[in-house]
Amino acid sequence: MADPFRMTEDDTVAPDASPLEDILELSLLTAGPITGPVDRPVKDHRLDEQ
Amino acid sequence: MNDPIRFTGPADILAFIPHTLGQTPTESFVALTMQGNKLGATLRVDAPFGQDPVGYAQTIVSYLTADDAATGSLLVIYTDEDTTEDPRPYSGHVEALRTELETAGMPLQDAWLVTSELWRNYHCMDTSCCPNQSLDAITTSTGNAALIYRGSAVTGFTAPAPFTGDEAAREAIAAHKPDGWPEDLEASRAAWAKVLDDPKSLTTQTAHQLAGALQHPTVRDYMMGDIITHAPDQFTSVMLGVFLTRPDWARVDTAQEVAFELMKATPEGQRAPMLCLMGWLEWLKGKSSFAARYFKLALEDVDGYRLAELLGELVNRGLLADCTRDPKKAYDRQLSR
Repeated sequence: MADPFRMTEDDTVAPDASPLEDILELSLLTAGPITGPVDRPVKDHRLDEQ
Repeated sequence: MNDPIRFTGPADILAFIPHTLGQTPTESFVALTMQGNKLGATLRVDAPFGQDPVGYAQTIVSYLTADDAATGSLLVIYTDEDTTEDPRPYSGHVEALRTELETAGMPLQDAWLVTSELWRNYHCMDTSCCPNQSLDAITTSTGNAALIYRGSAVTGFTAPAPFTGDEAAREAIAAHKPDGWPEDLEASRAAWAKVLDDPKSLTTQTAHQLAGALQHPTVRDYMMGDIITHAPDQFTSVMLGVFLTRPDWARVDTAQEVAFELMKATPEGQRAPMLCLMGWLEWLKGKSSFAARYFKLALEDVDGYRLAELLGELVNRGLLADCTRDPKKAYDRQLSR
């Protein structure tokens, strides 16, 4: 059985670590190919009828 | 509540698109869903340079299916592609899109072509019934007039304010960069919250303090997250635009205005965090084209700025903030009438 993991000083978070950058890196792992920006704004609800 | 605006012809639809996107598209496909006789969602994607027609069509339809009330669709192709040999540019992609939309239960009802000089029906080549029309017909349409009357304006991209401070600003901002201790983080978040609650309290000194705080990546991330009120365990969701409830969009608008003010107090080389913040908020609002421009400006300000690289890739891979798919949570403009 392997030794249980113990956090050491070497494992502490770097002073400039960014949680958001970590989140984005993970999200990009499963992202699709380059398509360019996609815009999907929401209209005002009063702009309704054709 | 005011009466809905009644659109009676294609010029009205074509006038509506720049109002909802914030700018007139170029080299783009714009698809609109129809819910009976009402307009539903608007979607803009880059024109398909060299892309496989079926894959491109399926991608567009995958975005549109978020509108589960859609009963039909419209398509507008903005391009200056040479039409002398083929009067219907991207005809293979449009045909593939027609098939996919039909399969998705939102058949294509009509399509138009808009160039930098004219517009016309995409399908009908008979100039006696569907002649080329000038772009003035869009700007003078009753739909455009009605939108303007209700307070809508096509503002385009808002360029960040130039630095108007003095030489001491750079040092002042650097001095305010936190060391990363928890108390630094809390102090920065408290100062940020105070300004978001009362934007008029922003002074040059506060601007330097906030710009300094934003230089620290972790502090920056928390300050960005604090714009959307959320429980601590929702941080990841919020940063990706996944909201449990409708956020306070007025607070988001305030944050953008404050960030714009911070730009005036922040010299080159220290502006990238604010530019990322402004772009991220545009992305949350569903305006990825504007977001991409802010991320590009951030990279021009600080070469290799990691957050700008990652957010830029996020939008260039077509990822949308989850909230844009739900009208109950998505940003909507507040018109005055």
